[in-house]
Amino acid sequence: MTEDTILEVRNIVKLFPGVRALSDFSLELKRGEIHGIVGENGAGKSTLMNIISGNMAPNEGEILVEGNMVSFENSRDAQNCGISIVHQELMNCPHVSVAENIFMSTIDSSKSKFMNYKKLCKDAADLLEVFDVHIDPRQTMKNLSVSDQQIVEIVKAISNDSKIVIFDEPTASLTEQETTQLFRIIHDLKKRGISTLYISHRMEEIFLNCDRVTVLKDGKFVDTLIVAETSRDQIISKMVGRDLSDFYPPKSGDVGDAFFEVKDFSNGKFFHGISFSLKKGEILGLSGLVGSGRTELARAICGVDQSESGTIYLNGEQLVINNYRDAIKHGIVYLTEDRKTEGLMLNMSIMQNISVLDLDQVSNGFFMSYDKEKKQAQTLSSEMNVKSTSIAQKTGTLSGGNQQKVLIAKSLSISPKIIFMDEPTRGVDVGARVEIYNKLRELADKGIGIVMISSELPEIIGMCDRVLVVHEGKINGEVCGVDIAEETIIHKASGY
Amino acid sequence: MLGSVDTTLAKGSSVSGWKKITQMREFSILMFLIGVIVVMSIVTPNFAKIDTLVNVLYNISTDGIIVIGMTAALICGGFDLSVGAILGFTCATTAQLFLKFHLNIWVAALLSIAIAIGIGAANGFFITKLKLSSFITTLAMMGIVRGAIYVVTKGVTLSVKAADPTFLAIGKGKLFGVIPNLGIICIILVIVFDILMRRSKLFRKVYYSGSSEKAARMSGINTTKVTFGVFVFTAGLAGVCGVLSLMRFSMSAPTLGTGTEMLVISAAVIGGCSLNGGEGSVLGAILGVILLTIVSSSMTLLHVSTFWQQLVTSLILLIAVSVDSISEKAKAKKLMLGS
Repeated sequence: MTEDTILEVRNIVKLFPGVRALSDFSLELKRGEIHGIVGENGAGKSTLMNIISGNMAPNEGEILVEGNMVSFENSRDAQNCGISIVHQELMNCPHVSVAENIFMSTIDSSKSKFMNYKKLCKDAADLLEVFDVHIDPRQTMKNLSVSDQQIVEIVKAISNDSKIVIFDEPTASLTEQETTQLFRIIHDLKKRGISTLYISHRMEEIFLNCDRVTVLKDGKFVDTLIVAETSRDQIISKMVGRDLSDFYPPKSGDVGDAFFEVKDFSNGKFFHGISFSLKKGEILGLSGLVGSGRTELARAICGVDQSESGTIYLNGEQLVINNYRDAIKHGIVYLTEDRKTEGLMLNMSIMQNISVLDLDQVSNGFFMSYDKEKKQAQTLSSEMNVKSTSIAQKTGTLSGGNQQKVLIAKSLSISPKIIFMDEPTRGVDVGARVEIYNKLRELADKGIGIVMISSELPEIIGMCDRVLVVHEGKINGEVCGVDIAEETIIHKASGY
Repeated sequence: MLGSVDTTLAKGSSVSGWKKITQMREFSILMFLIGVIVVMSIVTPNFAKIDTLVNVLYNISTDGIIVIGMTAALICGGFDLSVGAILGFTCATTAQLFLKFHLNIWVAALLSIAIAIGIGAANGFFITKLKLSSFITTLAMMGIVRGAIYVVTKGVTLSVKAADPTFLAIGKGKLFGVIPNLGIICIILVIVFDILMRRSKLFRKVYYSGSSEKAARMSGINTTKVTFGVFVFTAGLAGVCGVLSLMRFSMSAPTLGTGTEMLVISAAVIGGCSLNGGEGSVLGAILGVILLTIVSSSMTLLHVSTFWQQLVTSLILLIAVSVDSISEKAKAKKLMLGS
C-alpha cells in the first residue's frame, strides 16, 4: 500500500441467502481521488457501498482506512472513521429545518438537554457557505428543490470531517443544470483532499468526473482503469463481458408511408406547436435533455395529461382523444418511464397485470374468464420471454428487466397500433435489454409504430431510424440515417 | 397474504390444488375456527347445539353484511369508519319517518336507505374530489351521522311495534322455524358478493385501483369512479343493515351500531384484507366475523366476564396480523433462496 492510499478493501465476500453478492472483491482508493464504480444492475455496487459505509457487515475480508484495519458495526462507526454516503434516494426528514438535518447525528452528543437553534443555524450556514450555495439553514427541508436537498445531504455527509464520500447514482433525479452544480461540488471536495467513490451507470458522468474507474461484474472485480487512458466502449465491454456490436438489431431497410400524424401539439407550458409524423416500419426517437418536454409531449398525445391544442391522425382519420382510455381504444399506448409506481401493480400477478388494459377480452360478459385470462398471459409472457416461476407470480418480485417485459406484454394485449416507450430500458440489465431491443424492432417490422424516448443517447443512436430532437418544448431538428450520431443530436438538443 | 383474486389462480399453478388451498388465508382461519368449535364442544356441553348455531347466525347477520362493503373499501385501499353510524341512522330515520310522518314503513325504509347511499356519496365526494384521506373523511362522517341520530330521535329509543307485521316478521322469522331469515339474507349476500368480487370485471377494477391507483389510472381505469362507487356501496349495505335491525328489534336505539366499524375492520383484516389495498376476499372477511362472534359467545358460555371479551378479540387481531407478517417475510426469504 502506498502513502496516498486512504481506503483499501481486501478480498470482501458478501453472501445473501442463495446469492453470492460479492466474491473476493478488492479496491484501493487514493487521497483526493474521484473513483468511479460501474457495473450492471445487480453487479454488487450497492452491496459494496453498504459494506464500506457500515450498513452491512461482510462475511469475509478486510477494510483498511489510512492503513488501519477497521470493522464497522453500523454506519455511525463508518462515519467516525470519516466515511459518509449520499444515498441515491434522498434520506432526510422533510418537516424539519436544513440545519437540523445537517447535524441530526450530532444533536444527541451535545451536552445540553435543550436545542441551541442559533448555534445550529450558524454552523450550518458556515458549512453551506463553503460550497457557495444559497440555502437558508432555517428553511424547512421539504421546501427545497431536489438538488438543494441533495446539496444539504452532501453537506451533512462531510459535516463530521469526512475523508471519503460515497455517491450512489447522485444524478438520477437531477436536471442538467443541477447536475452541473453537483459536479462542481464534487470537484470542490477533491480540491480539499476528500476522496469520492462515485457510482453511476451514466458513462458520460464517469468521463466528466472520475480519475479512475473500477468495473464490477457479477460481484467480482473486473478491472480498475485510468479514465484518461480508456474509452467508453472498453468500459462497457468489460461490464458486459462481450462486444457492443451485437447489442442492437439491424435497422429497418424499407420504411413505408406515414400513417400516424401529430399536428400542432401545445400545452402552454412544456411544449409548443409540435408536429411530426410516423412511418410504417420505423422506430422514431424523441431525444433531448431531461426536462425538454419529451415525456410531457408523449403523455399529452396519449391523453394521459391534458393538452391545450393538437390533433392526431391515424391512417388519415382524425382521432378524438380526451383521456388515456380513448387512446387505448384507438390502439395507442404509452409505456411509462416510472414502471414501479405507474406501470405495474406490484402486488398483483403477471397475469392480472397483462389483462388490465382490456378486461372484455378476458371475460364472458359480466364475469372474468379465468381460462381466457390465463391463456392470454401465457401467450404474451412467453412471447416476451418473461422469466418467472408462473404467471401467478407477483410482478413486484420480478427483476427490472422482467417487469419491463411484462409492461410490454400488457401493451401488446390490445394489439396496439402505436407504442410510445418512455425510457424502455431504465433499470434493465443488459441481457433483457438486448431482448427488448430485438422485440421493438420486430414489432416495428410488423407495422406497429414505435416512438422511443430515451435519455441514453447510445440507445437512441443504436435503435432509431429517425430522431426528433426536442429543445425547450420545440422540435429543434430531425436527423435520420447516417446523421444519427452523438455530436449532431447533442448539438441540436442544446438549442443550436 | 392471499386475497380472493389469487385464489382464482389456484387451479392454474403448477403447485397441486390442495397444497394451494392450504396456503390460502381463508383456509387457516377456517382451521382456527374449527379448532375453537371443537375445543368449545368438549369444554361446554351446551355449545354443540342447534341453538348456538342459530344465535351465531343472528349475531353475524348485520356485521356479516357490512363486512362485505368494508372488504370492498379495504381492497380499494381505504376504509369506512362511518358504517356503524349509518346503520344506526338508517334504523332511526326509518322509525321516525314511520312514527312522525306516518309514512308506510316500507317507503320509510327505502327512503332511509336512499339517504344512507347519499351519505356514502358524500364520503366518496370528499375522498375522490377533494382527495381527503378516507380515515379523516369517514371519521368525521361517523361523528356527523351519529350526531344526526340524536337530532332526529332526540335521544329517545323509538318503537315501531305498530308497523306492518310482514315487515317485522322478516326480522324475527325463521325458515322452517329454525334458521333465522336474517342469517339467510346475510349468507346469500355473502355468497353473491364473494363470487362477484372474485369473478366480475366490476370488482376486479376495485382490486386494481387499490393495488396501485396510479398504475390503474395509467391502464385506463377510472379510479375516481371506482372509489366513489365503493363508498356508496359500503354505505348502502350499512343502510340495508339499519333496516334489517329495525325489522329484528322493532325499535331503534340511538347507540345502535356503535363500534360496528372497528369489529368489521378487525374481522376483514383477520380474514386477509390488507390495509394497503389490493388484497382480501369476502369469504375471508365473513370467516373473520364468524370467528370473532364465536369467540365472544364462547366466552359468555364459559362465564368469562364481558370485560374480557374486547380484550380477547383485539388480541386475536394482533396475533393474526403478526402471524401474517412473519409468514410473509418467510415467504419472501424462500423466494430469495429460490432465485
